[in-house]
Amino acid sequence: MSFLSPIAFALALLLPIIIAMYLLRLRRTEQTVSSTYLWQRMVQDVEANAPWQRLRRNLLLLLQLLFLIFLILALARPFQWVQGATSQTVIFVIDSSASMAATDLLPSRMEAAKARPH
Amino acid sequence: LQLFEEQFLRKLERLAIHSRRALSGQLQGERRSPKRGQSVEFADFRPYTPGDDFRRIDWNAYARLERFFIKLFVEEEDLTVHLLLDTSRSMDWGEPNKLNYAVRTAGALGYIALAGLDRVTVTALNDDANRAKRTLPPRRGKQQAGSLFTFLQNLSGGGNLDLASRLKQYAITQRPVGPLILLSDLMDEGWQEGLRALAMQGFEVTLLQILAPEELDPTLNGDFKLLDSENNSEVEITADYELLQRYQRNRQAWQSEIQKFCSARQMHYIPVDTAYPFEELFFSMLRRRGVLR
Repeated sequence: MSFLSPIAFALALLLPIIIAMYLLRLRRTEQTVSSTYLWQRMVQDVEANAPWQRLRRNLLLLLQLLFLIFLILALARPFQWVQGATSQTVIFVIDSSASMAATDLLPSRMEAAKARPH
Repeated sequence: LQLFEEQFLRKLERLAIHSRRALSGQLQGERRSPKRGQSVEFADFRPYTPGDDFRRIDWNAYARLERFFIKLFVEEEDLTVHLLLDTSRSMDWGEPNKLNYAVRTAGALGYIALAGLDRVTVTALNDDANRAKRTLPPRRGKQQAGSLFTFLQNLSGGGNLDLASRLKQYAITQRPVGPLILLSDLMDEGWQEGLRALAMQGFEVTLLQILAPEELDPTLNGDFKLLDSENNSEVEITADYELLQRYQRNRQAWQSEIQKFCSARQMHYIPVDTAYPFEELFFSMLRRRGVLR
């Protein structure tokens, strides 16, 4: 497989940028509190449990990366040489008027025309 | 370093820890006991049986009825006041510091009891291996106030606490029962279980829930990862007005749950804000709630 415009791969530089932005977004200010007892009680009745939440966030990152990878691949226009397997029907139309009997081409124009398609 | 001023202590001496029931003690004191014995307060008559001390026969009754009666009096004994102090790391937090406030409260309550000829025992609820550092065995008399204060001043916050198991253990092992004052923030799953165990053994529980202003009404704003000071659990929040409102509602629901639990078991539940003036707590709030007299 080759690519028509491999220059598009330069866009791959965007991948680390996405990851970096993601890491930056995750970094929250850390704050020590006496107990997370009350906070946990509060969070519990709002959203699902934390492990699933974490997974879902990572899923989003994964999808974004996949999207970018496919986009880059598409922009690079991949192609491949393959053996052509199809044949086409060619219709030859031969003039059969009297002028075809002229002998400027040997043995005659008619015979020469018949010989051509082969 | 002194815990209290002389003047404040003198004012405390006018107070006494209120006990709802007559409980038997160990030594002569100033509390009504269910036992019969010697005091000036008359309790009952009982027919004389051989072997009774005949000095206690009521001769006036004999003159009227020509039968011997023994005159019984109410016994007055001392009371053991149990002070339980949560010194887990979550208590050593807040502005003003919760542990500090709890230590001072325990000191003043202990002093009141000592001044009233009651016994005082203090237990710090933490997992310190050194037993002497976390338990003050029963003390009696005002001259023991010094050792009470020293003990309290040497307490430091740290470690985790399994409230349920510690309270259960205390309920089973500590005798005689008496008024018990628990100073804690109660931020632990096991509070119901622990309090139930104490009530079941006959302790008269007073729960002082000590919370810092920042816990009652947090002032966070923005994205935070909240780290627990005791275990390493963490909660990620995005604090905004709506979330803080929800926290407030949740906190209030929690406290009214405690309130309901306690009033169903005849415990005093007193939430205390560490910003609350200390003297007010003693001379107004605790008296109003019937913990002190």
